[in-house]
Amino acid sequence: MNQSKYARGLKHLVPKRHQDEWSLSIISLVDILTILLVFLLANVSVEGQKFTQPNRMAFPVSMKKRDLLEKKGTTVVQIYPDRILIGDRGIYFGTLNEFANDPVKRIEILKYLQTTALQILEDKDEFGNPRTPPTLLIQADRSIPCWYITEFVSLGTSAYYEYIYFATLLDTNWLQHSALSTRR
Amino acid sequence: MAHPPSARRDQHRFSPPKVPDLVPLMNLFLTIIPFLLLMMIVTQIAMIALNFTQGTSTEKQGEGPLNSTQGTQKNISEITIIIMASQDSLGTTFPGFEIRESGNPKESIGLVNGYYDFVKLDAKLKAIRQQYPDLQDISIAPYDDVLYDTLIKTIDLCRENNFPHIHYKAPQVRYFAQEVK
Repeated sequence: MNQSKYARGLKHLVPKRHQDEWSLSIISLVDILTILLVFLLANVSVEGQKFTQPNRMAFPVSMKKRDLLEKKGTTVVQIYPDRILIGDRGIYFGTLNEFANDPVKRIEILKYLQTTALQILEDKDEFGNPRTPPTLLIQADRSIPCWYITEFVSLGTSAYYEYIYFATLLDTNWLQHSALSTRR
Repeated sequence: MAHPPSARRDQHRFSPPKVPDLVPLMNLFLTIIPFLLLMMIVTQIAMIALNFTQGTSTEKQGEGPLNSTQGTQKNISEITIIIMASQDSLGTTFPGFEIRESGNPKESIGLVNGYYDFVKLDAKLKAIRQQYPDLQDISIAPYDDVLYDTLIKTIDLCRENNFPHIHYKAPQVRYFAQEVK
């Protein structure tokens, strides 16, 4: 009691600027958050983005998660409802309508896929075998008609691609949801 | 006689060093970091694989891949799931699934409430699995107007029912002309 009285008595003697120094220092917290931010941004880097869901594209769903065998030899084909992008850089190859009606476009895509697959096959190990099998990863919107998928599968197999992957989103309960919608 | 200004009075002219206001930065970080964490958890990308070997560009014409096990299963039925999205004028196609099994009559699974009946397809695939425990190959033939989502769900159901070798086919459309005498 006496002590608090004493402290209260001294309070007016402590200059205000000294009181301010006791406020919470958030600089160290900001440092931690900066490091965390850099770490998270590094994980969502360009290389990772290659195999994640592109913007403005809705993937279909599947029940189990399967990873790519090898990421190195993978060529990505992105089929949007309004455009087709191919390769790591997302080279624009026209619209779906152009793909369907213009044979020159399809030949261009085939040539690009063949060139890319041959580049992957050129990377060989000490026994002369390709290090990674050429893999075509098709990222398509769920609303795309199967004709385009069939054509790309056909182009992929014609261009030496050994594996063809369809990118999907993991949803373990889609069958239950489907059962609910059919029972309504 | 003028007195010099006291040192104590000079101290009041200088404000204490100001700490930069980090609160807006903190707010930004606290917004971005949970968003990034959420993105990392939600977008779990899965993959569905189709396996081909070189030179199987005729796959869509109906031939299986070279590494298929169908060659060793000649005594086992060949199962094909045909996915259709529309009805043609002749009535040969309808929206839904048609399961063709060699030696058995084809089975149709129509839409229910406008949706594909994946539950019934799953039950049928389970029955096929029980009938042929060693069967590994199954073919899927989607018509051109079927949506990609339906194709992937059908492939996924086949995977779930332990059909590791899934063959992607394009349905053959044949036109027959009747000879007029």
